[in-house]
Amino acid sequence: MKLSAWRRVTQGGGVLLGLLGITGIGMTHIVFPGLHCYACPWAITVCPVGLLQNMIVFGTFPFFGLGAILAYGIAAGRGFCGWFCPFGAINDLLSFRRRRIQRTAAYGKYVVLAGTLVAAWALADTVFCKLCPAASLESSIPYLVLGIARVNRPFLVHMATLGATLVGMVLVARFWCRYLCPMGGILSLFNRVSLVHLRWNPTKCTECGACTRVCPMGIEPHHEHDDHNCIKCGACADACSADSLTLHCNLRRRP
Amino acid sequence: MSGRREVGAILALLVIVATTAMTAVAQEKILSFTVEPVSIEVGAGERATVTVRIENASVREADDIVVTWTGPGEFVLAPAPQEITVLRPFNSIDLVVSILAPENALPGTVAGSLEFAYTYCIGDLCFQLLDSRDITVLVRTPAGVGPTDAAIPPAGPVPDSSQPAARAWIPYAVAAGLALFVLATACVMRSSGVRWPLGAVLLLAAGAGLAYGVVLGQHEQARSIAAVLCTSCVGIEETAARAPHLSAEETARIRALSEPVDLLVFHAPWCRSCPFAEALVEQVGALNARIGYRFVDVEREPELARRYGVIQSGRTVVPAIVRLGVDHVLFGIENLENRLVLLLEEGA
Repeated sequence: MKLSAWRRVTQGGGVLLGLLGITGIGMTHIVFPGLHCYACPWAITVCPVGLLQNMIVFGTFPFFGLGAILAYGIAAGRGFCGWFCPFGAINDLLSFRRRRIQRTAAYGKYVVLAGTLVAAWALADTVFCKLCPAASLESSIPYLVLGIARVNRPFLVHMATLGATLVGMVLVARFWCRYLCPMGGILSLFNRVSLVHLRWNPTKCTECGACTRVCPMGIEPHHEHDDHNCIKCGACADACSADSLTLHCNLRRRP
Repeated sequence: MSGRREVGAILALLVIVATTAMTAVAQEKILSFTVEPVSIEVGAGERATVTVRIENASVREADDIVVTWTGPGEFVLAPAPQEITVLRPFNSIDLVVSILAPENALPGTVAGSLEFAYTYCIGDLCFQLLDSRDITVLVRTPAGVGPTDAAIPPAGPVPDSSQPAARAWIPYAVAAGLALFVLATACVMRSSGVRWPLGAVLLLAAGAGLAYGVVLGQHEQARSIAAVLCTSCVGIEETAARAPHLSAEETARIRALSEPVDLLVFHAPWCRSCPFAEALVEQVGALNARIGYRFVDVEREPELARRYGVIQSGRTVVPAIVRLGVDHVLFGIENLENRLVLLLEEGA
């Protein structure tokens, strides 16, 4: 079975975990390893970005939240973006144009991350949550249906950010994950040291470029397998006929 | 090359975090002060009064508001210092301040100011803020008039406004922690692949963070933050930046209620919309003695929230107002004045 098929299964698991509250399970202590709004009526996990902002607003150092994020980072780095995150899965569904454009803009996610934390500090408010497209989809729309939200300015702002993000996703594959996601920004910091990583064997590589053509994140996997934008989805490994790219999980990288 | 660019990005992030963390330390002023008149005339040994209107238009409660005099000469506030313990959100207060000129004050104009120090807290984090308003004192030519009040109490100790609030070190600690985190991450990103010492350190850090977080109760805090939906926190509605306002017609309708009504106002400590709902219910309660109310912290009394239907699809939604005996709940604050009056009139 190809990696992409396995990935659909784990992404389904991510969506399932995100909506498990529909069974009546209440909120748990689990920090979600991706971007999933805790305000979603069916969420049972805590959004890491929302948690960090709230802890900053309270003036408390987020030991628990950062500990959880660090654990996820060590485990798979951005692998969670490729294999588990429900909003990443939506990005995947709209990944029609796998282009290598605007590489520099990929650092935008660090600016969003810094802006999110700083805004929480400076304004004592969860500013990012009010703009987050995942919250638009998973909270604003459900609460409108439930009769708690109304079509007001904050709702329209949410719809605007969601609309813009969806358009971006259609124009550039994994637009949100590439350029803007703060959670992706945090996890990417651990991409080089995570247990799950992409391995490249230069002796097998024919430089055919097949991996680059299928990469949804617009990187050259055979040259940038350690890149902060690699979500370890394995699309390149599936596409590599020479088996020079493989996903591995171990503690020590072979030379 | 890629590694260098990442390190560059990390350094840029470090600069952004450090710069903005410093600016973030300067917290917003939540009180406004209006002094009337700003120019007074007084003879040596006499006192004059000014009225200070202190308005709290924010959703935070201001505490320990202290007014002191700063300026040349030996002018003092009498009595001093003037202090207000609590000023709730969307409230204002008029404070009459007496300024006493010293016996040896020379004729002429003295430029001084009233200094205001106050604190407010967001969760566990408290800030002390300072503000001031200038006052011009015109000292008249002596006319042989002594002090108007021989029993003026001595000036009290002037609080040292340079003293930071008890927990003002937290922003610096957090900024330093963030900077260390970013630097450590930059080091991690320079490496390639997990090797035992680095892997062990990272795992230890993750485990220690989680364990210490649990010891501090942050896992419970995380769960309760996620379990309670504050309508203004995720952009379901706007935070009210104004005090609630009842129209003349709404006021008349509330006064006309003849049946007793009991309200429960559900709120959470971090909810920014809740003070608006609380202030409105306080206003309404002041208009008609038949309206009783109680504020319920959903974190402390989750069972009460469950019993009165404040939990929707597993989320406790705040602010929420429940009228006992009526089975629907008012969520949020949008158009709340009108919705609350309709709720009060229900069944009347």
